[in-house]
Amino acid sequence: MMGNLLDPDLEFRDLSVNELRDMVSRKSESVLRRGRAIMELGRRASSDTALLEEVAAMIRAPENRRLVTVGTASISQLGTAGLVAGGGERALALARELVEEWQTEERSDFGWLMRSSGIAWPHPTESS
Amino acid sequence: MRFERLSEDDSSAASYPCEAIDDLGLRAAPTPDAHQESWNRETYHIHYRALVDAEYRDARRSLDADTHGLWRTLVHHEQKFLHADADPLRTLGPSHETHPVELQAAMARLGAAGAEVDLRPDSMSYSPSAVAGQPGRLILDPEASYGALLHEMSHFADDEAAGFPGLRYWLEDPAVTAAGESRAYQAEIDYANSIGQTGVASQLAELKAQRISELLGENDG
Repeated sequence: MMGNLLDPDLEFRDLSVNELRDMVSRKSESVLRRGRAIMELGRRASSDTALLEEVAAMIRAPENRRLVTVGTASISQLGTAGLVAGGGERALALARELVEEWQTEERSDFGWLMRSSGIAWPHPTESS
Repeated sequence: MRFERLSEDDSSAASYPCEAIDDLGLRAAPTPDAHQESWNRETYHIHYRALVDAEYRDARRSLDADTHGLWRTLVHHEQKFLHADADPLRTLGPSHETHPVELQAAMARLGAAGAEVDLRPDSMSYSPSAVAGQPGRLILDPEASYGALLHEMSHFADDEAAGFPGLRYWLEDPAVTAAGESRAYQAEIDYANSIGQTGVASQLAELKAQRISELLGENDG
């Protein structure tokens, strides 16, 4: 069994921030690996204010919101999941703020992703 | 602000009741009796049609009033590229009209596995659960074609065959996920060819190549 999406990514945690950043933006990279890279950046951002702002910009990028990895999980949703996985008040507050900016369907999809990983997350109707 | 892991016995954590299936009465066991089967089918049609009508009521109202209604919104709003954006077989009719028995069987299979089904206009996708050991969620456009249903059920079948390993598994090996995508598109392509829709099959083959390229990371753009 592969565990929980929010568990540490053992393969990616040894990559540098620069390597992860490059991977997220590289259009020739697998969309799945781009998703894992932004998620790892999100994890690390909980303890790095500058990185937090950079990850927020990546998550807000329209192309990352549109680009789907698997099912309904977009690049942006995985980055936001990374913020939740990393924890910390600022990262979690940012995650909530970013999700509030999304369309109802995106909020619903992210809420399902969180709840299916065991995280209490409000339904879209409760958060808007 | 606090985000807490839900306890394992919290039923809302990972397994949601499939209200769509309950509404359709699809949890009932199939019967071999022909009369009963016919009655079930008729009941299913009535219930499904009611659900579809409810989903599209607002859209129709907007179109009737010649306003910029739901349809236009669905086309133009910032929506992710989900499978319903590429359902060229839809012009032949929705699965609930062309293949009602097969649709019912698919819903029953999802319900038996404990998968969640979410009726949502203009979206089709199967999402594995974020945690291993749990079935995922099928988002079903009530007006989707039978081909699109075959596509998404192929993803569900792959997830089920792998023992519902969780989303992380499907993110880790692009070759595995691309193979699943290839199977899903091929099911749709084979169906299109079987009914003589070779042009549609070609469109689907192009979409398949594009998606697999995204998954494997071979795009140049």
